[in-house]
Amino acid sequence: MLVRDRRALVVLLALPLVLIAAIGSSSGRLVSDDARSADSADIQTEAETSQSMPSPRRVYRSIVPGFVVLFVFFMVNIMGRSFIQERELGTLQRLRTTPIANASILLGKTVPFLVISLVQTGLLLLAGVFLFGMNPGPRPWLMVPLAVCTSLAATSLGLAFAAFVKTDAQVSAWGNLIVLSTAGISGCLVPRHWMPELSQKISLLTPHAWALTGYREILAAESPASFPVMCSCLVLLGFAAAFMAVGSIGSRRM
Amino acid sequence: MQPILDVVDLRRSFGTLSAVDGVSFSVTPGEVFGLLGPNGAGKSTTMTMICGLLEMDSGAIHVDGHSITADPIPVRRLLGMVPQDLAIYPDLSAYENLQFFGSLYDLGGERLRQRLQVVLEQIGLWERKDDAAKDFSGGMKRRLNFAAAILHEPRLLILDEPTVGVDPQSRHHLLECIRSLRDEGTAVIYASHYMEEVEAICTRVAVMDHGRILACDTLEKLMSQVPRKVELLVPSEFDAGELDESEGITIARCEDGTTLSITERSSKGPLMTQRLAELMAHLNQHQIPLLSIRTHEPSLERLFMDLTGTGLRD
Repeated sequence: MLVRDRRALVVLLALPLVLIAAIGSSSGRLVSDDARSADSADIQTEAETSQSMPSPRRVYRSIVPGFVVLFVFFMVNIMGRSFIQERELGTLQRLRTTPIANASILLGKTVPFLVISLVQTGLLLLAGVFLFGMNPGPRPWLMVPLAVCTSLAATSLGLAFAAFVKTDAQVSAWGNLIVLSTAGISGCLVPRHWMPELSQKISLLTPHAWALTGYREILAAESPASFPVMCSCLVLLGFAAAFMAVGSIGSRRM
Repeated sequence: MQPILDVVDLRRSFGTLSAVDGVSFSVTPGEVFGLLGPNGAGKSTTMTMICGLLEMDSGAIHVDGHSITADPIPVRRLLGMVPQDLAIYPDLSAYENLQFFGSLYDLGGERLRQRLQVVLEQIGLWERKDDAAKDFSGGMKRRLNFAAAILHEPRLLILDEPTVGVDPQSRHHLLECIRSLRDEGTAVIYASHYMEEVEAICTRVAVMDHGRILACDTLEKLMSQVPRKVELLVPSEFDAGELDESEGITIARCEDGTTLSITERSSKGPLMTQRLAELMAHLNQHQIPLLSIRTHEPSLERLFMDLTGTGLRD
């Protein structure tokens, strides 16, 4: 169903690419100025990389992960809509009369979205590297577990959300509110290190912020360490487990 | 015969509304059990609980000895459910829909292919098997909806108004399929508002209202509770007071002043025949013309209206 839904493909792929290109080209100066005033490790990295990398390319190092994480969490809306559609078709009720455990039904509904989310993340990061010249850093493979954990957290949040919404209008209203407000708080739209200290602490209540912290380590550090990335992954898995538990409890009312 | 379904003292409330209030019945293999009741009587809630889609407040449901609460997965293998609303994927073809639902019951390979052909032929959709369900007529969609529930050969089939909005041909076809399943030993619970369908296929019927079963018996026994009635149109000057009322028979003049209503309260004995013969002889003797005669045969609809009343329901 999702494959045939062109609107979903636009939201998941085309829109983030257009936004990355538009915002990246217009805010290059702001980001590079900020990068010079960031922490010492960063300054060192910037100084070194600035010799070989023109300023607009550095901009995308901050924007691409931000938009990747933001649009991965747009899956929440799409999942909510998919569950409502299944409910309205009556097929969800029929599935629940079959000898399939409730957990398996939820898993079966969630895994395709997880795969789509991973493909989306992969394509957007590749676009970041090949279209916008984002430097993937010396250890780009660290992005793999981070992308998996971020997608798990996003699809689990989608599952929890789907268990509680009842209409398309609720999906649009609550879904956009959740996606955009968490994106705003977490630093997807404005780099976290630009935010006041209190806001940075509050942002850690969102999975997005942990994902962004991981991406920043991989893309901005001169020699990215595995430990902080794995810490981000663990926290994201914790979010995923909590969202899944909420979704599982809520799905009994579906 | 051992019942395939045992429902004991089933109860379910929604807030202060008692939707199902102490319902008990059983269904044996090869039996079509009709569930009648006005809207909101508790039929769908009862069936939803039997399918395990809704938790009961108290009571017990056993399917072939398995408790729906303690042992839901084996119960679901034995059940087939045809919901009131369609439950098929419109973008998938008839074949793909059934293939998907069949695979959920561990049907696969040659066995699944065999069942798909048998069932699609049974519901008359084999020729259209590759067409998307969204392109089907209402009747065809209903038949596909039905097929999805019988593909895995359930021992208990639950049908919640399966013929709503279908043309007479599709309805006839579905009823034939149900008869054929009944003959093969499948137990069927059939909820419908169409009395003629229930009379045509059900062996036993329960009439529900306000969450309770008001009557539950074989069709024959239920019908015997419905009074037979004959109405005679006679001139207004005819004095009905001359005729004695015997036990079990009521003779009354209707408000129009010309219609005599003779109602037999019990079908035991030839009371109606005797009283009619006496009345005819009386009319003949006094040369009173009989203007017309109308009989009211016992019917399920009359029983239903007698038990549940004529007030509108939400």
